[in-house]
Amino acid sequence: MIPAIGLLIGIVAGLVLEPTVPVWLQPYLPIAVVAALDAVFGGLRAVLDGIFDDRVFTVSFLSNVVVAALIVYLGDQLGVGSQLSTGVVVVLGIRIFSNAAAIRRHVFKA
Amino acid sequence: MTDEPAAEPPAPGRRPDPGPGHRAEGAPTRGRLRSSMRPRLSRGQLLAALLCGVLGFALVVQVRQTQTGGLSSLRQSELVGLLDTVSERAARLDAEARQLQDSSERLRSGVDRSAAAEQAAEARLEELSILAGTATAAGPGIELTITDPQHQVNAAILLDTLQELRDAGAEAVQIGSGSTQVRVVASTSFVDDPRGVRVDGQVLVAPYQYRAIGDPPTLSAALGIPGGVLEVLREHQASGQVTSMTNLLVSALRPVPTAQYARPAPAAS
Repeated sequence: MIPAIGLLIGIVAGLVLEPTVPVWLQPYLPIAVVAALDAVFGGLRAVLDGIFDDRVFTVSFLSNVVVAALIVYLGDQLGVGSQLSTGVVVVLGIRIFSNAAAIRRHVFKA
Repeated sequence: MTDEPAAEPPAPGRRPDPGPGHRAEGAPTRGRLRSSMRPRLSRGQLLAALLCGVLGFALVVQVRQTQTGGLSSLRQSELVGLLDTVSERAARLDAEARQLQDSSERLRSGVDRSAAAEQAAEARLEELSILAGTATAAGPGIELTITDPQHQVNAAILLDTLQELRDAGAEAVQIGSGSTQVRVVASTSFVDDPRGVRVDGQVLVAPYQYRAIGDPPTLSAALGIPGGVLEVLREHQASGQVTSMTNLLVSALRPVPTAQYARPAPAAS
C-alpha cells in the first residue's frame, strides 16, 4: 500500500515540478526506468508469491538501476551504446513479460 | 539480483525460491494481496515507497523529456548522422535555389531586354517616321508666308529658305500653296517651273507657305538675320512674313516608298 502511494506521489511530483533531465543523465535515465520497472514487477510478483522482502526489493531495485546504467555507460565508451541499450531493453522487457505472466496467473488463475 | 538463482525467471525482490507448485494458489493469493494492501508502517515499506516514488518521478520526467526534448535526448552519433543528413539536404536545396534563381534572373533580364528593345524601336520608329514624313507632326514652330507678286522667287530661294530652317533646327517641314501641301524630307526636290516652282513633282504657285516645327524664336531669328532669307526676299521684290505658333500641325504626308530590290541585310555582328 505504502509503495503504491509512493509511486503516485512520485508521478504527481514529476508532473508538477516538470524538471529537465541533466545532460549527463540523459542516456541512462530511460534504461534505468526500464530496469526499475522490472524490479517493481518482480516485487509485485514476490508479493503475490508471499515471499516479498523489503530489503531484497531495495537491493534488487538499486542494483538493477546501477547495472543497467553501467552497461549503457560501458556501451557508450565502447562505441556500441545504442546497440547495447537495445539489448538491455530487450532483456528487461522479457523479464517484465515473464513477471507479468506470473502475476497474471496469480490474479486470474490463467 | 545477485540473490537470484540463475535458471529462474527473474523476480527481483524474491526470497530464495520456495520451489515449484506455488502457482495458482487461490485464497492465499487474495489474502496476500489484501494483507499487502494494509498499510504497515515499517522502515522497509517506507524505503520501497521511496524507491517507487523515485521510479514514478523518473518515469514521468523521462516521458516528458521524450515528448518535448527532441534533439536534446539524442545520442552524439545520432546527432552527427542527423546533422549530416540535414546539411546534405540543405546543400541540395541551396543548389536548387541557386539554379532557380539563375533561371529566374535569366528570364527576367530577357523580358527586360525585349521590353527595352521594343521601347527603343518604337521611339526610333516615331523619329524616323517624322524624318521620312510618313507621320504627321505637331508642336511649336513658325509659319512663313512668302508673297511674290513679281514672280521673282525661284526654286533656289525656296531651297535656301529650307536650308536656313533646317540649320535652325526645324524638325518637320512642309511647304504649300493653297490646297497643295508637300512634306519636305531629305529627298525633296525643288525645280523651277513656268507657273511657279515644282516641289517633288507638284507645282506650287505663290504665295508659298512654309510650316516648320522647331524652336520658334530660333527659327524666326534665323530667317531675320542680315543677309538672311527675309532680306533676300525683299531684294527680289517679294516679302516673307513669319508667325510664331505654339501648336503647329505638319499634316502633309509622304507616301512610304516600297523597296523593290533592297532588303535589310543581316546585321554584321
